[in-house]
Amino acid sequence: MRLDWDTLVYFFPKLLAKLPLTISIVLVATVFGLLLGLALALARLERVPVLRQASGVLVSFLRGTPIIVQMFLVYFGLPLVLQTVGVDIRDWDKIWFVYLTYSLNAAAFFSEILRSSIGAVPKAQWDAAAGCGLTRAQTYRRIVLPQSVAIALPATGMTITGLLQDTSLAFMLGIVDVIGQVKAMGSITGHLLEGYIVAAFFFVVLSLLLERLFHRAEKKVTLRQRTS
Amino acid sequence: MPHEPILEVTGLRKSFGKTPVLTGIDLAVQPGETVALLGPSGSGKTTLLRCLNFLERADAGTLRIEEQRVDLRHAHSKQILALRRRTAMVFQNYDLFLNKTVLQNVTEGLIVARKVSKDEAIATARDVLSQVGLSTRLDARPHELSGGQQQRVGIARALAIKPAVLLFDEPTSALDPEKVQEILDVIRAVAQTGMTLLIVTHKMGFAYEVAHRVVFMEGGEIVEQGTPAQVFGAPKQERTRQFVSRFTEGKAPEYFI
Repeated sequence: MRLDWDTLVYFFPKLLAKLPLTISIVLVATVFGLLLGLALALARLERVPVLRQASGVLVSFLRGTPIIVQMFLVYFGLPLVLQTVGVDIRDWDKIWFVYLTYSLNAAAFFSEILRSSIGAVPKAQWDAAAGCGLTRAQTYRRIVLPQSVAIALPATGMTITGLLQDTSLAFMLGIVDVIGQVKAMGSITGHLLEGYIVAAFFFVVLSLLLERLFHRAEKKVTLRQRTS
Repeated sequence: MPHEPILEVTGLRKSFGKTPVLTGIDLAVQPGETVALLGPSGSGKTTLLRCLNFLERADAGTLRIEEQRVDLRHAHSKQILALRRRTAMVFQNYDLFLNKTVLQNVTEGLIVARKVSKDEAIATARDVLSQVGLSTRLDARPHELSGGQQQRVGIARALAIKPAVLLFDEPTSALDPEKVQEILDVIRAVAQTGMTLLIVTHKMGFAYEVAHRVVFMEGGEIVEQGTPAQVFGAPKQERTRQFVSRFTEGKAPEYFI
């Protein structure tokens, strides 16, 4: 087996065309993962009865099972569950199940990052806010969350980069993203290696871009607020 | 003093686990009065102060500030918030909001808690900041300031709220000796404006000079209180005598300012 440059060049635009789909999985999972992750973190930090325990169990489950298992559970299991309450989602496009799975998975990791970074904001900041007459919600919004963002940034960047790599499993559900396209074109043309080389190139470039982005954000934020 | 007290605590008790920290505190502060809380470390001064704005929840007692009276143990969050908005606190370690500029630190409580318009809040903030001697560097972040400057901002942040009672928790303990005096001067100037101040301090010379009344605490209770002349000059209790002797006999000149 030898590397065929023409195939490589031929694959490049075909895989590039699928890059938006791969990126969309990362984006959707990041946005909804952060929102749900914050809710999960707050449920535990604020010791909300019932929700707090539910959050703990959900996070442990999502962090303790492979994403491929979660994806199949969501894809095959969720329609069954919803069917019992009269909601039929069986003919939804597969991509929605992928979005949902990756959002849930990301939420679990983000919730742990947020929980620890919110906890890392000095307690004295809470006291100072209370001393100024701020409510708990106001303190979160205006004082604690902005500071915890600075603390959470490095780990968040790593998690999003990990999420990008994890999207390579979405093809298992029949999604034709970058990897799905590699598989499809590989079986048509008989050239798999070339596809994976191009895919690797895309993933590396995206990861590097993410790394740069977060490095810049960290620099900007830590210049503005340094603890001590 | 003829007035009705602006702040009145009765029967305040607080334990941390099984360790009693405050064992029945009764204290009244008159409007415009400057009260210094003195006492050895662990006497409960700071805890008392923190119970007054619910940074610690007391086990028993009642508190009245102006016309609002609350049960210290059972107060619910709305009462706590309303009561907190009648006081302001200056902290030992300044505790400025790290994600805010100097100006924003002062306007935050006004805009967010008191719903003052942004323009009005900024005007007030500039005003109190110049009162504490900080008219420049309003856009600096806390980490760019010296300790003394940070504490000026801390005092300005508290003043801006125009609280009924201003609480100071060892405001100079974290400062370089040379900065201590400038902060004490700021506090003295604030006291002279007729504000009501309750100050936990180790600076006996300062208490002697500025306070209208000195309250000596030890072992979680008020041992003795009176004018500085009474407490420092003619203490009635042996424990007070021992404590103030270090000051009055001048054996430890660092207590002199």
